[in-house]
Amino acid sequence: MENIVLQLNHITKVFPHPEKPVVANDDVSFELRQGEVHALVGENGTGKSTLMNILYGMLLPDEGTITLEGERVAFKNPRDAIAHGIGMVHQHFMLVPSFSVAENLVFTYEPKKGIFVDLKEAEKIASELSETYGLYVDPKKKIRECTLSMQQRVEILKILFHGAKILIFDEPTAVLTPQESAELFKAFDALKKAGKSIIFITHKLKEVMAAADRATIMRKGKVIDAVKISGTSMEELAGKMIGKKIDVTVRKMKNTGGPEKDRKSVLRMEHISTEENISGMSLKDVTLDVKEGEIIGIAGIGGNGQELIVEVAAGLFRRLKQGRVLYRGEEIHKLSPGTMRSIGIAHITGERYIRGVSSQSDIYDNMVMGFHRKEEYSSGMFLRLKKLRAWIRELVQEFNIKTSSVTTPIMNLSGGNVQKCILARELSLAEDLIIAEEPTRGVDIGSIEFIHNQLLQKAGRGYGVLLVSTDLDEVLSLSSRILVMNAGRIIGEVDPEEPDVEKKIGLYMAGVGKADRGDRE
Amino acid sequence: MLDIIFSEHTLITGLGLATPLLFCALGGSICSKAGNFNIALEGFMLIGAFFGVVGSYFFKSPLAGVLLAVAASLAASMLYGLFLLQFKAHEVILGFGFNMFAIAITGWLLEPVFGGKGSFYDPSIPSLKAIDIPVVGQIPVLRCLSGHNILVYLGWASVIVLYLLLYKTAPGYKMRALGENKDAISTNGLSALKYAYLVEMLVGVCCGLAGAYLSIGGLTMFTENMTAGRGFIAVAAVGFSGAYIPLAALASIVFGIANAVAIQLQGLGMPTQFVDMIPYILTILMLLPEMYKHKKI
Repeated sequence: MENIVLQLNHITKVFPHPEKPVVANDDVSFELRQGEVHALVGENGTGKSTLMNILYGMLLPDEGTITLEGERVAFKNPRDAIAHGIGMVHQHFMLVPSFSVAENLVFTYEPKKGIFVDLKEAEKIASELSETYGLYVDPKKKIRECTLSMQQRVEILKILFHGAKILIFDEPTAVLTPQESAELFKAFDALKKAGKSIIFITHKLKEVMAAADRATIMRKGKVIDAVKISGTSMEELAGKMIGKKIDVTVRKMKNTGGPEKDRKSVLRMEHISTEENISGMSLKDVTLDVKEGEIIGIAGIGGNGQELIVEVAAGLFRRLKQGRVLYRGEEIHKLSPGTMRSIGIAHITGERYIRGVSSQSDIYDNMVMGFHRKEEYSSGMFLRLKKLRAWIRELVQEFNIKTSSVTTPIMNLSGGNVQKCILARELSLAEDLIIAEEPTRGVDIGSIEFIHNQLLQKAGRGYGVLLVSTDLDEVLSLSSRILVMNAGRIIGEVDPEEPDVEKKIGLYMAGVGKADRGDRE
Repeated sequence: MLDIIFSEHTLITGLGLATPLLFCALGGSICSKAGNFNIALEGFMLIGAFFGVVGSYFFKSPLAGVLLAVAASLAASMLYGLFLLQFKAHEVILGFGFNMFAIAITGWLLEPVFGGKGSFYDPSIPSLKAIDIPVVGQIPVLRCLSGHNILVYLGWASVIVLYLLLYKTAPGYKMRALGENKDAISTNGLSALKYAYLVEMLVGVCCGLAGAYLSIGGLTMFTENMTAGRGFIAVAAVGFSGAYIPLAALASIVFGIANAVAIQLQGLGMPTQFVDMIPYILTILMLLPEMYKHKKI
């Protein structure tokens, strides 16, 4: 029906790394039709942005070709791409805060009067474009005084001014309120009418259903499928996005043990609502209960509030609007992270190099953190260094951390070994609660197995474990119960042993399905 | 006493003393707008001053002195650019390094080039001649603007030229974008690095002219470390003005006049130690509003 304007054929892009090169795009092909809104869907880190950066000339592909309107093209830099009518609205706006809207709009393509930039002409261009496409901007306003949505409109007008026929949007709604997102999608329609084609990168399926004509789904660097939105459903998209499990997940956790009511609660969150964090996410009426010997898995597409649950539980985010957090029946949501650690809440962080370790220090210094406050290892004034050293050596052996010496800088270790150091420290500090956030992200397969077994062992000994992971296999294989998050809420609970569980989780992840707890928007 | 301090003579001296500060502050302002808080102005200027004397001495022409000063300072600033932009050196450490390097290299070169130590003075070296502006020279007070050498006039012209360059031309837009959102340049397919080097070139030329003024603008002489912290006063002028060129220029001229007043006071028998402090105290006072704005005090 419509003609194809753009084809990416068999694109492969590998980011070199001495140990583990990353294949960001693996034989990816993509087609864009004239006048459509095409969503490029996938979880974070599946190579969507890499693909678009190749199209925009920011990266060169290792293999593969680009065909634009039937002609083979190769872009050496973004200016090439711009000259061929391709424009990109980046996730982080490429605007200069102290310049006016008009100045930003014409930046690097300034109209000139003699040797000077013709500001009047620039402002005229800005108001004309603004009117033509119905995207309101104030040409004279400084960018730093503009709202994010106006800044985005400036970006859109900027690429239209460059003469773009194909517009790429990288996660355009990440910075917008729902109303502003709706406005943006209206603008998509206007752009479509003007004959533009739009590629729209996102991981929010609701938006795909609302705004796109077709969607290409990517997972782990590969294209899974390209579908027409009118002929698909959100569940189908979610299924494709998180992936069908070909190998049936081996359940490592067995839902056995005593009847549930006999078990004591270790961590309980009651109707937690929080203020917004910097990325604009907040928890909305979250209730959960971690009992002794249980592993509670929190599943969901990354960035749906999981990190806030972890931060609230570990005392790192204390701006609660409502609700309370109970640890063994005592309120803890006003305590500092340090106090929480000292009363026995262990936190295996997902931000390994930011929160997990001090990257400047060696293995020993990193592993004593926390123990150095314990009476056993400190007389108050002086540390019992001999005892500490012996203890750390013991841990290094027990957790099989591969290093020649405990004084090796922690950054010399591989990711898996760094994670083992954190695990060794946190699991030994834990009294009865372990918060494990992405415990195996970026870790080699051998270490994954080891880390999983450690968590299972602890649960077997009656520890409560809160497992937060975007790796669905991990959650399915380890958890006794699974809570699924969407947009800051716990949208559903599933039993990992029931049949068809993945489909159900997929639905919940996409934000579809009934919310078990409270009303959703 | 006041009429001696605030005489036309003081004003003339002040405008002269302000010139090296002005050039450095202009260069520093452009750097600062482009995201490089450059503290190596002092070093560039010192190298410029040395080679100004060298050029004037060997080619018997003050113009050759100016050109050589600019060339030497430009070479130094490009080297600074190479370290800063491509080897990603820390700008403060790099700046200190350059300043110390400049003192050492010029001090060391004195002997092989001129055969002396500590300083070099030869009355036979031609210096830049004073130029009178025809009509202005007759008007009271305004005549202070006349009778300076070419570099002083060039300094005033540079204020306007560089202001227009930075705020009204396409390259100027890119230079300012460097300091705020470098990626805005590269996503449009242009080289941010190219513009960053252009900025370093401008600061090199400015500091070269400042150095030439010091060494061959009046007396022709070079003494070790003759810049004596003027580069840092220029840095203060940049900080005080928020790197806004007209304000930075004004600050430099105020510093220059303050310096001239200090010299007059010395003539009147005020203790030297006290008088010598004046420009530096003024520096601190002028920075106060800026510090207050950022709640550092």
